[in-house]
Amino acid sequence: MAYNRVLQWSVMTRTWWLYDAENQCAFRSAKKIVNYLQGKHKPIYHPLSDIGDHVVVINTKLVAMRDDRWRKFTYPHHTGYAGGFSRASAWRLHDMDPTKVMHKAVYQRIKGNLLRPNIMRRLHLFPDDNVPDEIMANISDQIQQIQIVPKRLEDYSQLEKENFPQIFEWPEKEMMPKKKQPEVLQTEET
Amino acid sequence: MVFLSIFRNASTMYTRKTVGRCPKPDKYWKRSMYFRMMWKYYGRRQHIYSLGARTVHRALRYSTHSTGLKKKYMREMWTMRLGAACNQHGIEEEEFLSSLTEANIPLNRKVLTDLSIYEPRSFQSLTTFAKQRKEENGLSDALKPTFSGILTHGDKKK
Amino acid sequence: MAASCRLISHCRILSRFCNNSGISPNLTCLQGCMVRRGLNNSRKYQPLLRELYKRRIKAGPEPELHPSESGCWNYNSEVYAFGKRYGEEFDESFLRKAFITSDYRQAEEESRRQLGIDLESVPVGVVDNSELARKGEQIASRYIKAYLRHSYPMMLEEGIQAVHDYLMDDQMIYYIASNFGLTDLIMSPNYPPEDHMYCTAFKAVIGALAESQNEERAGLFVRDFVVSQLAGKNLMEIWDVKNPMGLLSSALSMQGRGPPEPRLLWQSASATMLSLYHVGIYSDKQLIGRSPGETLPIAEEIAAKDALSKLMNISLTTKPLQFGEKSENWKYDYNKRNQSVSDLLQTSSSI
Repeated sequence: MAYNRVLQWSVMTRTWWLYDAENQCAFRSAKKIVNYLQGKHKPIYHPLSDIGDHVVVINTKLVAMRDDRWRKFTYPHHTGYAGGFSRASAWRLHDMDPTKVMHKAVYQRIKGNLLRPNIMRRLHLFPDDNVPDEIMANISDQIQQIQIVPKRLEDYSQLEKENFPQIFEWPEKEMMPKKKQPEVLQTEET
Repeated sequence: MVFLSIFRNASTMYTRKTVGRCPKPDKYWKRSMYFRMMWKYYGRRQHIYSLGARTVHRALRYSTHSTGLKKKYMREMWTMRLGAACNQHGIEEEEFLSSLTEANIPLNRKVLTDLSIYEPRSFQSLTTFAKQRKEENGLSDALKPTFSGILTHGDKKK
Repeated sequence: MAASCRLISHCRILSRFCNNSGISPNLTCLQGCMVRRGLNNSRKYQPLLRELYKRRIKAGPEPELHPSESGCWNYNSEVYAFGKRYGEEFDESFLRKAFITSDYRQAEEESRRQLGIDLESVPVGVVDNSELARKGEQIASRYIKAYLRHSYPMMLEEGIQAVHDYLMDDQMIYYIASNFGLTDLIMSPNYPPEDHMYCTAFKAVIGALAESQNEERAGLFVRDFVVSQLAGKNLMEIWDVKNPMGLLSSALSMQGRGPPEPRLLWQSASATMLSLYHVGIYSDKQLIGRSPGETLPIAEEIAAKDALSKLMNISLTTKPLQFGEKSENWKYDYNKRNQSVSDLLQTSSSI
């Protein structure tokens, strides 16, 4: 390749990455995303050289947490005044702002120094997959998800459910009784 | 005692104790040595010897201590860079290093990092060699995770 | 305490000043001294040095002197050693002539004229190096072109000319000559000699070698000291190609290949200031050159240059230039010319 100038340009420009947070653990995703934001995925990394990339995270509304952490994990906050302490559980914070859990997970992963605000500015969070075109135009690559997205029961077709291999049949008394259809509605309609 | 020549032994004859009224030595040279190290300090430490000298002593202690730390930090940085370089080619750093060692290719982290930055093609050939060797050993298939889904350009790892 | 502090800081200011001015260190020991201990450390010593330092500042910097001023100088042996240093057998009369500048000759004539000596009846008998330099320049120029044509047979004649001009440029010749041990040998009215005197003297040394031995030997001298400056250089950066895409298409059509087709390989951050485009150039569905760039036209132009350099076999990945024993017995055809751009355009248009 000719011309060292453009080679250097291609080394030093910031690449834009896409990360789909659907059904991904917020904390472990943050661990991976932070490497890209700081430039630790490049062999020329140095803590003082500003070579981090941009990461666009979509579907933050659908992030996952292990066990019952949505209930147990809390985010503390203090206003600075006496009696100003409060804490919000993860599900409540997520309810207020669906990008906040991901934002905090990434923020807490980065070392608290003067570089942190600038690094955080390179993180673009979107609750769903509606990303503005001017941001989508920059993206050139995708970060691999850390977990396999499980297929839900409702995603399987009726045929697949029927063809699913059954080893034995449950006895009658072990099975849940089927819900009775409310008859009142039917009568009203008729 | 008969001395045929003048007996010159500075340690016994010309020390301050024996000479008595000899003036004290000039402190200028010692002080100027400290002043040369004090130029960077702020305020009175820069210009006043007794204050600046303390800071200089502490600074020298720190610098001696950090000669050891520097080695540690450099190794950490090489490890990080090499990990990143290996990830780009889809191989773990540990596997890469161990297969190079087994094949008697004595390259350390520092050299491999320099190769990955300045000679990416040479580094790529080394990773290709390591991957091929790993496959020939046959253990990788057993440990390989099963992955189903759409593989894109970025999905090189595993 | 305050007084001594002032004294010391004053001295430090002086020593800083001394660092900046190019004063010879023999009198300014103030900054270079180690800590002195014991009885040697007299209180009278430092004021003495300070006084000497002040006098040094007042006197100003010493002029740069020719080594002969210090008394230990033998011009004959220095001239002899010059040739031996580079492993060449010089005829000493030619080599001496190579160091005499025209300014020196004129100064000699002027001094004689002032003494009232008639120059026509009693000639100066000094021949300057301009004739030798002209000859040396011709030999160097001829050899460089022949060497480049031999090394890069696929390269276009314009490129050969551009690289030749780069090597024969005054700046490059001065760079080589100034590191060649000529400073003390050049005969000039003033010391050190001026820049153009270095260039002339270096070219004259080449001419003197050709006179002493032969032109072939002078050519090898040029190869070793001038052409070797190309080692590790990117020739496409030296040669500024105008309209590389047009040149590439005509070069491809002459080889009977398909027209060049630029394609975007990948892009990043295209809506920002740090946009990056990777452009590849294909011909007959084969990648013949690629390059990154901050905009599409720049990336395309440089990719075309990359493809051209590969076509002409001058890219950085090709075999390096051959020096030393490997190119000792090369036979050059001095009349041979490489294909030029105009030839290429004519043939491609006729096809």
